[in-house]
Amino acid sequence: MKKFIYITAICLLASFGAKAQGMMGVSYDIGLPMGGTSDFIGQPSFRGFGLEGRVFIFDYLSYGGSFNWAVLYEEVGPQEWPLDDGPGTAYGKQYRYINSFPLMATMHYYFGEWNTTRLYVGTGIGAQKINQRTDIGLYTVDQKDWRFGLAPEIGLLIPVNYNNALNISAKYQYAAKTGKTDAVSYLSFKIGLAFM
Amino acid sequence: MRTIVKLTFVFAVSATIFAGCYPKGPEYYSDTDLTVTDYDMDYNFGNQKKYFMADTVEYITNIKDNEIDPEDVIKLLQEVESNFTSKGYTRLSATDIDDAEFAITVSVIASKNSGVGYVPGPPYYPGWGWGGGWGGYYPPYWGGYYSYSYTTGSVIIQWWDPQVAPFSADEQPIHWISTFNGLVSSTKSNNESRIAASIQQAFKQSPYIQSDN
Repeated sequence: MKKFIYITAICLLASFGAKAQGMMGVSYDIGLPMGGTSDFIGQPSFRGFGLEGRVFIFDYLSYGGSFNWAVLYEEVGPQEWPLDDGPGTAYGKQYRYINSFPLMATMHYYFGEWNTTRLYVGTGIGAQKINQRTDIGLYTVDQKDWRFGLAPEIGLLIPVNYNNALNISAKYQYAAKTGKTDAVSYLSFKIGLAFM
Repeated sequence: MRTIVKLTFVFAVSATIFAGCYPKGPEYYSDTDLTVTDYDMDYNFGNQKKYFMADTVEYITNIKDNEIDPEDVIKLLQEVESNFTSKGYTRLSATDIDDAEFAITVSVIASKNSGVGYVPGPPYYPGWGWGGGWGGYYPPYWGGYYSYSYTTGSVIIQWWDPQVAPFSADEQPIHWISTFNGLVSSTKSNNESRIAASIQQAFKQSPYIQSDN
């Protein structure tokens, strides 16, 4: 896993330092939990942002790196919960959090011409740090680990002026399961600014 | 270079806004309340009727020179007795202790936690803080050292049966246990109402506690 983290970090840094035609961007992200993650936290997340860099190898192809932070959160209860071991019952409020930090090496393919709205598709591959925590009463159960991550993405670059563009996309963030934890996945809707 | 400056500025603004709206979890003392019950599935709660419960509680605390208010003890035991009565059980006085079919013991634990912590500047990260992760105190936004102090309270109710042989000289099987705890408020009435609500909840989530006699 460390290998993924290093490679992705190098891609991200290399894309920022590149002299070639490049693009850097920041974004506000909205997350919609999916799959088993939505059983743990059903509420959409309005707390997320991202940072990315891309270097164009050709007019239609770029490589780069991205970093995001999304906080998924839900307050559940108060209600009764069966104990994991034994026939007992617990009653209280649960505060559930997932902090997701995807660190990805990316590749994107672009359709259309510059100075027009460009559709792009791409994917990110790398690592995701997942901090999953449940607070109940005075107790906390948390799990922190790095996982393999994938992030296919489809988006639009809408020129605002010669140097800047609006960057809108939908990205499926997936962090693989581990021996102790389930996979984490959510659909991330991004609205951001891209600086050429 | 201009792009990097722009990016840094936008990133800093985003991070600041983001850190400011981080979910803060529990807001009120009652949000920290937790009631847990567990029981012996082989024990027949319905067969029992008469029980003994002492007029005192076991009080355990790490607070220096602190004693439990006798009035609080009376209210606590009255609440426990009231719930047992509603389930068909009868409390015996000390003089009738030999007729008791089971015994109830009540313990109270108050624990004061204080110290100094450090919170990094924004964006702050949900791993900070003391053992429990949070405790009713939200740190200064720009980070730094801070002191904290909070008290947690627990009430434990245990049901045991003198007719059941002990495991050993020191170990008596417990057939039902109810524990509830939370952060202690500085308002006495708030603590009292939360304890009463927790006792009622403990009985509500233990439907097997019902005397058939």
